[in-house]
Amino acid sequence: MQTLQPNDKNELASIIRDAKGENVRLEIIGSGSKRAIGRPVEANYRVSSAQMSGITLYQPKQRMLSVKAGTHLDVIEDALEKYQQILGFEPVNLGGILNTREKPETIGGILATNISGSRQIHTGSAKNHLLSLRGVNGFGQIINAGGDTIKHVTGYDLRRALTGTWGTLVFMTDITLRTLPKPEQTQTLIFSGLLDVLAIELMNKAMATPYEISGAMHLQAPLVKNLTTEQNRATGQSLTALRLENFSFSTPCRMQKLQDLLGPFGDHIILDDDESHDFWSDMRTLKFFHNSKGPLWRIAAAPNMASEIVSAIKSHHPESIAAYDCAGGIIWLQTPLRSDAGASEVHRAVLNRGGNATLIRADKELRSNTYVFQPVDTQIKSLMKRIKMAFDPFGILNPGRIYEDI
Amino acid sequence: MSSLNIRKPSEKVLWNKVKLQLELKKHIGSDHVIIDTEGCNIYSRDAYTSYRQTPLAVVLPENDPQVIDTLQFCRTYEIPIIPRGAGTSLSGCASAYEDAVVLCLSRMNKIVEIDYENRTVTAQTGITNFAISETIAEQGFFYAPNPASQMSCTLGGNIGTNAGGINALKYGTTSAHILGMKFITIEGDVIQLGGNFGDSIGYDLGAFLIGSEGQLGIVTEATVRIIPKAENARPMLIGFETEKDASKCIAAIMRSRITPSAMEFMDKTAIQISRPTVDYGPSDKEQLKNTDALLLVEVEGSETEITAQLNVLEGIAFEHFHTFTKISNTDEDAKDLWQIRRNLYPALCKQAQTYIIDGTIPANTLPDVLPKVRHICANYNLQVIHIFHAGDGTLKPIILYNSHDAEDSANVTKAVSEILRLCLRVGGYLSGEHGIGLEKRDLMQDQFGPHEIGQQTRIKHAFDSRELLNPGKVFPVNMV
Repeated sequence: MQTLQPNDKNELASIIRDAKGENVRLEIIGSGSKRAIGRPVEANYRVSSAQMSGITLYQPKQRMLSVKAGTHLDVIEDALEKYQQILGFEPVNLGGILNTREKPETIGGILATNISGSRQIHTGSAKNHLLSLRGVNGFGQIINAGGDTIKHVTGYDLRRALTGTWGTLVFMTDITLRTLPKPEQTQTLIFSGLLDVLAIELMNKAMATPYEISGAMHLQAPLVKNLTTEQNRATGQSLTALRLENFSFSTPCRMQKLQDLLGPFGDHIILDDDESHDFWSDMRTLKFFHNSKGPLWRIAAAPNMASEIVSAIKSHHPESIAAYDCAGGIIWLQTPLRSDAGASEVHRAVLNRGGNATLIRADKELRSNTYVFQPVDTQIKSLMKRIKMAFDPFGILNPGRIYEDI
Repeated sequence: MSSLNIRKPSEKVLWNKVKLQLELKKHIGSDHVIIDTEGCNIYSRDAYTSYRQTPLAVVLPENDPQVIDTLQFCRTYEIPIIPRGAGTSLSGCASAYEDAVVLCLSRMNKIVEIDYENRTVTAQTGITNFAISETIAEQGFFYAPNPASQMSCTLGGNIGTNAGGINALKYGTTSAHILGMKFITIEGDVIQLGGNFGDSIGYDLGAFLIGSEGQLGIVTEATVRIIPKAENARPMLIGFETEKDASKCIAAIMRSRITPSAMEFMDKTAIQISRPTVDYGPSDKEQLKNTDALLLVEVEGSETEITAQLNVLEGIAFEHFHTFTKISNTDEDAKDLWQIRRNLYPALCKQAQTYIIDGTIPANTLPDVLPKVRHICANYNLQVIHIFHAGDGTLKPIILYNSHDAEDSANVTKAVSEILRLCLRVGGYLSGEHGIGLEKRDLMQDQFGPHEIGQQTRIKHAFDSRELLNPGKVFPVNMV
């Protein structure tokens, strides 16, 4: 399939307008690092943001960064590092689990999927950090949404609404993000050998404190062997981690208070700055799932329902393995290699307890034949279709990426 | 704003007014419907005073079925619906029309569930913002969005305008705190989005609804995220010789690692006007003489953390030619410093009527914009005061005027338009937290091009193809 690489938003708009006239469907990509997620798109051409790349404005004093959508994440993070700033939502790097390491992630792709990392438990997901965006809709019109300020209520909030729409409503071209100061010191409190239920109780007890936990993760025992550092691999037992990030005058005090509170949960160790960095880098790349090939689900749930959801799925697929991020609010679940990835059991378990499931890793055939995204009821589906019609009535942009008809 | 181009009322509805009023009362129940003129007048406007119309009727539902029945009735007779909470909108989001039914959710004000385990509260949207925080305070939690009207404004109104407040700099606006919601479409379908988990699937329909000023559906219930209260919070008052120094100090604080839980700016006129009623302390009299701007900055944490952060802030203030700093060392001190800010608005109201403008500007334009706003107001013989949440881009000039003086009122209208256009010229937006409503509707053409307004109105049609939910607001009438 031919890949078109427009140089700017006007060229892109022209391509989409032409597509409208010729009944052509377009697959929207950044670098293609997330092409293996979602339903495969049947399209005539591929359009990439590769040529729309670069930082257009960085104002560290305003905590604001404007970039073109095709800008690689590492370019952005290098620029922020110079001013000791970060992206608050800690984008997840899926290259290791999707085997697309050679394709650097683009900021457009990250916002189109809204898959955010462990820090979202404290600072919110990518959409909470998006100040404004520009994109081209299915009419070939350039649309601006949002403003370069935290507060903004001028018409419908398209910047949040368009984040996570997988390129089915607009092709993002320009993005302005809020940046955050890089924490001065990071420490991680690690418990070993806790069962899921107890680990989730511990994490949520910590989350109810005022110590601003910025990461709460529990890995089941079989996942620990894949971690980078020997110290974390050594026990071979499940591992529960809580991250504190703050000033150097704050983190150790808060850590002490946390230890005092959570001590009864058992033995624990503290990782310092560098060790913490290594550990959370593993979490950010989902390193614990790199050496496996089974279908991988991302499940959003109420934290107190998380272990029950996993147990319900495991009762059908005992080989399933889970990592609980965000104190249980996000579950990364690997199911056995089967024809349907355990989809019906996963969807049922989630439906009965609240939440939603997205199939992140699976082969193309499976993604074509099962619900990659949690099925929704007819009223919501009908509303989604009407929204699709409002942006892309000719079905040009990423047709069928989310559901067969969206 | 008397020159507002208001949508044409439905002649059919007006012609059958009495019949429809009686039928509505019968349909919903007389305890839940107001049709007498005096009663309806109370709902004729919100806190936007420039436009009012007595509505056809007011419905005060207590449950979803009554909301559904009201929508069904209005669909049948093609009657516009004005969703309303406490009516605190300053932009006319809840201004009524003579052919419309006001659907006021103030009786739907119950807490449905408090879930400390998952740190959420589910409540009907007629509950006041403050009631949520008050209910969970004993357990050490709070609900972060806290607009100035939080004692009376409702959760539904906050959702409609994506309300922020003093703490938005650190905690974000309403959209960052809504995990789920139940809304009723114009067709009467009840749709549950999300719940006590924080992620949407497919399209985030909630993101369309938050900030939509009641134009897309009637949100009757919402699940909000609640946050553990900080151990302590302490403000610090900093005086500056010039506004420019204060603006630069704001930028320097934002550049530092400290994220204040609040940062409030007050200009020289605010200080002068408030002097008779606000106690700045006897030792500050001399310093205030040379002070053109004040910043009230609050930080949170343990006592040790607060002391360390305030030391850092003091250092930043020193680098920006501060005239004085006043640090709160105790809860009592903190209360006193906040009282300065809280007393300002009542002090202003004693002087004259106030018109609060709400725009946003890029933070680096602040030093240029403040004097330009004064210049605009001076051209119309109006006095203006700058008090705003600093660091989050909001600009809130408060114009003092005499609403009984026709010329003064006309001048306010002109000045407001000019100031908002100034916001647009420097790269800002028409509203940071009040919404567009009727007040700024016609300026949307200056903010957005026809494609963008076209896109937004297509979204409106996707949710409400009948154009019955809060019509004639947000978008210019000739562009819908």
